[in-house]
Amino acid sequence: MSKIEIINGYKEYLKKKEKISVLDNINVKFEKEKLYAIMGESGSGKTTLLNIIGTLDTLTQGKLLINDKEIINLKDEEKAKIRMKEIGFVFQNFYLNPNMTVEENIMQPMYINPEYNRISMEEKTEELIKMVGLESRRTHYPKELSGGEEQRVAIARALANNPEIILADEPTGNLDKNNEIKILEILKDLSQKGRCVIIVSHSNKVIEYADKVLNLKEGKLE
Amino acid sequence: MKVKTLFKLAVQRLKYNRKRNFIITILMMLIAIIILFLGMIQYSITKYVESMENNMELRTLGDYLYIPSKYQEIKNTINNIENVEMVVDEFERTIHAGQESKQLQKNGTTGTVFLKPANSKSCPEVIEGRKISNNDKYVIILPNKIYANNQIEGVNNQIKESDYISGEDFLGKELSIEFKTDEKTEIIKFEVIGIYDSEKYNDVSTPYIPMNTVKMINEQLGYEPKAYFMTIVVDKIENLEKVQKELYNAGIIQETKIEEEASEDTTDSNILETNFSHVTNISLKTLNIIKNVLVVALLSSAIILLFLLIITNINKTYLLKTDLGILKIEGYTNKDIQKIIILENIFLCLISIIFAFIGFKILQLIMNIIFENIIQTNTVGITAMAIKEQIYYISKIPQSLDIKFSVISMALFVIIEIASTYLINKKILKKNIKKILE
Ligand SMILES: Nc1ncnc2c1ncn2[C@@H]1O[C@H](COP(=O)(O)OP(=O)(O)O)[C@@H](O)[C@H]1O
Ligand SMILES: [Mg+2]
Repeated sequence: MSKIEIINGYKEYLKKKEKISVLDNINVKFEKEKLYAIMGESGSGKTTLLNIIGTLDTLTQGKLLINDKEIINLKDEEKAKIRMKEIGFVFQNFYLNPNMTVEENIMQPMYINPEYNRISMEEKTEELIKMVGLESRRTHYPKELSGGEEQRVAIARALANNPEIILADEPTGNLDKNNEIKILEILKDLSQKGRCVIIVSHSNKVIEYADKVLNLKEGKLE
Repeated sequence: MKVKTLFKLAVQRLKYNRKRNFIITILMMLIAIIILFLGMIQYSITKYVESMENNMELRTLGDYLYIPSKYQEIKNTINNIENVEMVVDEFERTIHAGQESKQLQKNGTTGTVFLKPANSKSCPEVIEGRKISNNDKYVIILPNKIYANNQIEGVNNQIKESDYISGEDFLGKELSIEFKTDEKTEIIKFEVIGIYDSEKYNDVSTPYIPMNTVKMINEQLGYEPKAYFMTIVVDKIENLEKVQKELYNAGIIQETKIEEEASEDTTDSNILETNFSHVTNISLKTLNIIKNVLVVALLSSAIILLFLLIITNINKTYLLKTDLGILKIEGYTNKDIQKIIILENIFLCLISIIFAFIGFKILQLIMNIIFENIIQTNTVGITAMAIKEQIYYISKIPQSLDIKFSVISMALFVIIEIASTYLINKKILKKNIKKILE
């Protein structure tokens, strides 16, 4: 069973009444316990593809399966539930809430997960903070952290509800070499522990960590 | 999402966005204060004008002297004039005796009342019981707040709330009034049939009894008039001059040259009353203009301010757009997000309204001090009693606030705030995730 599958996927955007084709007949499968690198030039549609997989955007035509389940026809609320349970996002710009501390940022996704109570929420947060090595930064605000630390908070937050899929959109785009390696190692580790990790990037460093490299070019994925 | 979680998240947002929320709260508070304040002035003036218009004394033309033989004929002629509510003769107008009721004594007051005649037309509107009909005898209408004393309330010594007697307590019961002349004392029992709003009629010491009963009591006391006077009650203050002119044209009255004859020391009731009505009419016109200006000011400032609030709200929501995107990514549904933000805004509205009421009370206090200390003391002694009395009533303006208006305007305020928030959020949440996160 594959974690994610896109069958005959097309994506078009309407710009000033003109159709632009971004994804053109995509057929791809993503498995558990693997790290994927999707490479491509800027504007090639990498973010669009990742957002579609993450149920944040929709295919114009074609099928998206997550755990063999058809996603396209689901209601917004059901999609939100899939995002909460199955998917963790990591972005180039981190997207942390600047008014929340490290702990609070990590905890925020847990509030809508009925499996947590107050105690297990705190335990989980603690575990995640340890995992990304930010024990001394618990009550710090994002502006007090370095880029690498911010991205580690974002990864911890992405793992808040134990998702099996991690989608990372240029996660090292704003980081220096050292931090890039640190983040990639964390992501690699997550894939080795059974998760399906998809990294979108145009940095060649990712290739060293990837189990499989895919290239997006003129709407086609090879 | 559980209600408890919803509250927790809404409170969290209040805290996280405290700087922006502080500005919004201040803005909303100011809007609410201005709405309440303008509403108060508008309402108070309306009430004041209403009470003046309802006050029979201010709609009275008097006292015209007639030869007894022509009396009935003239009375009929006057009664036929349009805008004349009633014509009262000397027997029907006042009871020429002291009037006291032991039942109305409280905290050292004498129980003195000033009975006035009424027919079905001129009887005040009742808030309980029924009005006087033309067949009634020995019935009485009381104010809901009674202050029965031989000294009328002064400008400076206001009556304490505990000094009032409740008129409602007498409804359906009997009230004994003692009538005293130099020769005689008569105790007469009245059935209390109705209660009028003392605030609306600006009167706490006047019970109304049927006109014919006034006449009967005067006869019983052996009152003999030295001359035949007549008093004319006009339906509206603004019609006073018109009726006066008609009476003059019909040759029923002689023209009185008010300005030349009137002076502060004059005790001639004819001149004073007419003079008073004249002043009242002018000030009522002015007040009505002020009232209309205020209505326009209220509406336009409310619209401008609400517009401002909506713009601030849009601005805030767009600035916090990324937050919404993050919540979406984390798996919050659009509904969850809306609920949290709406609850946050309800909290903001409530906080603003609470502070607005506090601010409004302070403003009222300041206005009261200005009215009581500056306006009143500056005018005492230099103006006629009539003006003083008006100022006394005007000084009550800052004390009243229409509860209905406050509740409705504040509810509308909250609804507009919440609705605009909801619609902006809806618009943002519908966008592509890339646009939300931008
Ligand atoms: N919401 C949108 N509306 C219209 N065009 C879009 C939208 N999102 C992306 N595009 C277009 O789709 C193409 C791919 O964008 P994107 O997926 O962001 O590329 P990448 O992440 O590889 O740089 C670009 O040409 C972009 O202009
Ligand atoms: Mg991109």
